Amino acid sequence: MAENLSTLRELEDSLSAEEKELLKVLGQVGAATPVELAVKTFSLPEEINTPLLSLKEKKLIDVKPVPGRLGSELLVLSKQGLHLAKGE
Amino acid sequence: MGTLNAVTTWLASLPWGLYLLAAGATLALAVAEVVSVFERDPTRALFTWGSVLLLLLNVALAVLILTLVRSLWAGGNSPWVALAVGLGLPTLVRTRFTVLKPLPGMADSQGVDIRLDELYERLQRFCRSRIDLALASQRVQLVEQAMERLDLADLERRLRLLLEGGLLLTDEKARQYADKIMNAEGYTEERKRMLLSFAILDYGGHRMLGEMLKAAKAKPPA
Repeated sequence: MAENLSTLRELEDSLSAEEKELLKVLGQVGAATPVELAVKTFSLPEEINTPLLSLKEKKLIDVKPVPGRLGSELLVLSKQGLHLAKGE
Repeated sequence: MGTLNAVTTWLASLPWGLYLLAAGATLALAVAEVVSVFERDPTRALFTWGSVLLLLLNVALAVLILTLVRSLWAGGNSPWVALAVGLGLPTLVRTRFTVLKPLPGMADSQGVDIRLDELYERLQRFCRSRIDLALASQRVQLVEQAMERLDLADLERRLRLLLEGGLLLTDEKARQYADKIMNAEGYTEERKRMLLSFAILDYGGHRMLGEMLKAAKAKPPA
């Protein structure tokens, strides 16, 4: 438990301001496509591409294909991402 | 009081009435759960398979528990019991029952749990993910239609009205968003239409973009 907490803290410290904002927004809306996240943060999709990929690499977000919409992906917080977004 | 007694007697004489009461109470709570999570799109969220599955499962559980109560306890044929089952179900499915708890001092003194709460949470997560995916699919479909049928100028005007016209409480970043999209380097008209449509959908809602599409359909060709 304590190990998990320290890993979470380390992860949190490694996040950039953009990554933190995206986590927070995703925590508020529950799930969104990358372009919707861009709109929610008043950004262009390419501006949030790098932080989103980084969050995916850190396993803080999960990516799911949207059924019936080829090429569309839905981003949701992973369990760890949820903890960080909630600030636990 | 007389009316209440009459209703109670009537309900007690009809076993299906008890089931209806339990199912109705639990259904109301499950609907409230879905609506409170999907505040922005409650109706659409309710009419997805994920929602239907969650509601049906709650009803089935209420019926099952009421049947158990009625078969095990003679006093279970009361509308109050049915109501208690319906309203108490959410509490019950969030409970962890410890069936066996070994005496302290044993090497493994952890009890044997029936983790109903974990099971229900997993099911809720599954249903939530189905609802999210269904709603996302609907949003993408609507934006695809908007990209096909709506003019760039109309989309830009509407987003400016939303973010710059004082319809929404916005900050500087929001007020500059339409400019940011329109002046984005290397953006084709289609890409601008896509972003503007998503922004209108997000800040104006499904209804606003839907109405723009309806108006465009009704407009006679120039």
